[in-house]
Amino acid sequence: MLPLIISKRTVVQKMPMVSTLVIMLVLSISPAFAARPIAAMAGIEAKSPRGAQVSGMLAERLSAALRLSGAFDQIDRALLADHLSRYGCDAEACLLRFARTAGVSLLLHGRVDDRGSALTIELEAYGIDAPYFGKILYRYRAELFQGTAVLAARELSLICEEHAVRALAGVLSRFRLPVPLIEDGGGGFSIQGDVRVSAGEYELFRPVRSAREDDVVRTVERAGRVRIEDNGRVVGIGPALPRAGDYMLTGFQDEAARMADLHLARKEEAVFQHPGYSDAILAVIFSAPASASMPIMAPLGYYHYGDFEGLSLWAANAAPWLYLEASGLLRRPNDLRKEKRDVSRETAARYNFGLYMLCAGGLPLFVDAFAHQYLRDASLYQGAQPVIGGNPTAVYLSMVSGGGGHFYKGHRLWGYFYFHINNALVYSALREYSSAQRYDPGTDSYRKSKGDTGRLRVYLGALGALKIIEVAHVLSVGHSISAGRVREERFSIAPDLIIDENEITPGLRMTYRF
Amino acid sequence: MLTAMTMNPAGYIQSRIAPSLAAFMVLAMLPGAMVRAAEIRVNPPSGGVAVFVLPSADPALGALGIESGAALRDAFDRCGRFLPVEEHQLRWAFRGAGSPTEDDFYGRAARLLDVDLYVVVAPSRMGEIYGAAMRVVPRRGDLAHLERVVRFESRIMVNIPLRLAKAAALLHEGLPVSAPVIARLEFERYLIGAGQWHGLSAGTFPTRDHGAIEVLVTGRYESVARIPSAKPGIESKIVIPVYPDVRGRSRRYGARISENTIARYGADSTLLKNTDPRKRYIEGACIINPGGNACLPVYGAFLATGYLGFRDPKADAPGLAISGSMLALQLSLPSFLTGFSAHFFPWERDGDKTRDMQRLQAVMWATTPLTVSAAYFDQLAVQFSRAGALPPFFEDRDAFAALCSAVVPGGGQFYKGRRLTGWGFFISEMALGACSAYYFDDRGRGRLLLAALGTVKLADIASAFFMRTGYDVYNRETADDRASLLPFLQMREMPGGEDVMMLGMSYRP
Repeated sequence: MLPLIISKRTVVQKMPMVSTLVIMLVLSISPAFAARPIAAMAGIEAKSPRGAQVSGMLAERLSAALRLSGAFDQIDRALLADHLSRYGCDAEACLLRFARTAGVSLLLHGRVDDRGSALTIELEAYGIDAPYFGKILYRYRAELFQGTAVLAARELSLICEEHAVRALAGVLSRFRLPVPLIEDGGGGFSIQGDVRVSAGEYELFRPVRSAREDDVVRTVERAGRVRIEDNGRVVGIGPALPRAGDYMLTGFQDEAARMADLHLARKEEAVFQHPGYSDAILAVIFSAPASASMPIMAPLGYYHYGDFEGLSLWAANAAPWLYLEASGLLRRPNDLRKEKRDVSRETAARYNFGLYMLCAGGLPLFVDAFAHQYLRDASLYQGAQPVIGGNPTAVYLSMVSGGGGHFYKGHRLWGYFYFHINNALVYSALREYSSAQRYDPGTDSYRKSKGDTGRLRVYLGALGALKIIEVAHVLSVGHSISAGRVREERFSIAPDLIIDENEITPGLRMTYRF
Repeated sequence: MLTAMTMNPAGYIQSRIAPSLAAFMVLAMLPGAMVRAAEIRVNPPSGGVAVFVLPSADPALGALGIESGAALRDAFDRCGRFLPVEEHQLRWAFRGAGSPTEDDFYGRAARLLDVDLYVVVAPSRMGEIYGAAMRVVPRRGDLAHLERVVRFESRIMVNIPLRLAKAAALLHEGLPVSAPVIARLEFERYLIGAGQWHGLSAGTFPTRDHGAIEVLVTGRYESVARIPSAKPGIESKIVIPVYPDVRGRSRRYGARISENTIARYGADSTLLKNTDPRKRYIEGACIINPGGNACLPVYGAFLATGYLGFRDPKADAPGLAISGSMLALQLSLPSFLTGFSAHFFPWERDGDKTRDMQRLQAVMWATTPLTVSAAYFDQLAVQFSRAGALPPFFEDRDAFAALCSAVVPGGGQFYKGRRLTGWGFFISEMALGACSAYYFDDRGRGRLLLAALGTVKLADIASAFFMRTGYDVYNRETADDRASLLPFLQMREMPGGEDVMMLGMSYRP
């Protein structure tokens, strides 16, 4: 009886006008047919009062995001939560049994862990039908470190919305819906009229027949490929002969990308004050003072904001270049010439490098000391932040300094990567460009000897190529304004040193987070 | 929404209300489904564990019991070997097991549930110290090695459930997937009772009794596998060599325990409640301590510790004596070596002061800030131990200790409360540094000494990173549950105020 009700329900669908319009726009490229599977949200657990507040907001935002995506119908959240808690059905096995019985295709479940200074949000998505058979298809985990930021109800609500959208975008990008073929009455096959599938080619799957038709897990074999025509007819490609009951898999990747992009754009609008050319002009004006004052201002900035990680990175990374700058500026060629001493190419190069660091080379680290905190505030919705958020400024900073644009956008490690390569190339080029001056007491004059122009061209070419790559890279990455650290399922391979109290085991870790 | 409803009310009702109605009907059937005995038994493919918590009249212990039960169920669930029995199933079993005052009440409940394993937790409290005893009772012969009783105590209540969970996770070490055969399908295929929850994925696995098996498709708790070389009977067990990530899970629990301990004993909650202790720590090291030592050499290091808010601090005399001796030696060694004939100040050179001696003197004088910093870190280690507090940056203690050792010889050891090791590294590095400076022009010997200095420095940094901390409050809370044999070298103040140096091995069974 129940499956019948549900299948009848899915036949007739009227989407809200806005959703219909958006989906029509997205799908205008290829014809489609509308209907939606069912999603159920089986509660988000929390133990503390703040956790419960966040969990309520998160559930509400997830529900809204699901509705907005237009991909699923939902079981009433409050009713479901009430009944599941009334009958003590909070364990995973019980929830899966419920989902199978109720004809749910996607089951969402989560928990919020409040650890005082940090909040952890975990969401799990279970696919109930083939090809998942109840497996977790996606796991989303976000850790939110509050620090000194004040997170009131407004900020928490916005943060919950962000994680709801990102989690759901992740779920939609992975979720695959089985679409069975039906006989069209004319000897051919079609898909159910109420299922939305874009025209195109699909892999066809065939469940292996079994004496136990009620098994939860069924084996499936590939039955070739089929093409969905514009009119909804299914045509086999090559030797494939479709049968009734075969199915293909369709997904919601477009909706996922649209949701994620839309939310990011909205957040950038809300948290950046003037992301335009005016900021870039300000950056041009203040470049030289900022660069010159970096050795003092940057550590003070890190210290002021309590960014001790930044301070440590600055100390370790800036030290060699600051040494070169200081030695160049303190041992100026002019002073040596006044004393009628030789000026080596190294000395001249260091002096020139010192000038470069004064004018532009220190700019990236100055930017990092301040932008990092502004971006952190922006990520936690602490008002509209000035100065940051503009691509023109990022491009300018990348062009005049090493890694400036990446620091400006909050990508600290990339910033240091470009900072070191850029400085190494600039110094090498300056070394070839600078000339050694040898004092000739006979004529009381200096004789100059030039560097290798061939090598100079190589260094300048490499620097030019680096700048092109850096600018393209900085344009391709977004601002680092994620509210908290997000871990999504993915493969990763990394060297690992497993440290226990009793032993240390080196190894290679290949991880698939699911 | 209003527009949609106005345009087609029937469609709207079907699209919006029908899912809820359907769910409501399913849910309305839940209670009936849940009280049937056939449904009550733990799902056989997944095995099962029942977690029983002894009731208590003390509300705090009641809360601790609930938290402990939840944490244990979570640990078993995440390790993927024993499916925790659901709450309503436990209630059903309790009703059938008789009176809780009778002997073997929990054993009878476990038999009714037909679980593979059951755990009984008894929370306790003595003053401010919370505790829990956990008895693990296996009901299957092949799990007999899991039987054990573990006990934990802690001043931090929230650490008890985590330590129980960690112990539960460690139970799973080396437990392979034991999948029962549920049904025989066509073409040598079998439905087996293990799936994604157990850590199983599609692929080929060698098994001892059934040859190589190929897992074709997995569900959450069940899978379809092809077993070509054997014909296993229904209910027979297939042991698949897939193991849970016990160490990773145990580390995660350990990290949470450590986090709670730092939150309780950290400087921000014990010493400096309204200020950022990290800033105070850095200001103390970079400004207050040098200033204090400029006014009162060595003793200033102790006075500077007051900036971190210690109540009633007491100077540690042996530490001050060591640092004072080191400082005196640094300033006067060249004078001793030259029979007090050379000029006292390093920037003045006379006939009695060779170039090597002047270099040695310059290095000795230039490194006096390192000595007063070491004195400061040493005094801080004493004050933190006495106050039962943990220093700032303790959440990143390994990296910070390595950084301290990179800057100040032995600094990381002092930071971690290992004072004797800290002074050992300090004296070694200073001695090697002085010799390197003196023999710098002697290329062979100078290089050898510099290489030795570099090696000791690296050892200092590595040891600071890897060494366990010397703070008892932290070690007590985060002690590993497994047997261990560890060497230790410590200087500790006894109750009478006497300082005792200790060297030995500690064994925790």
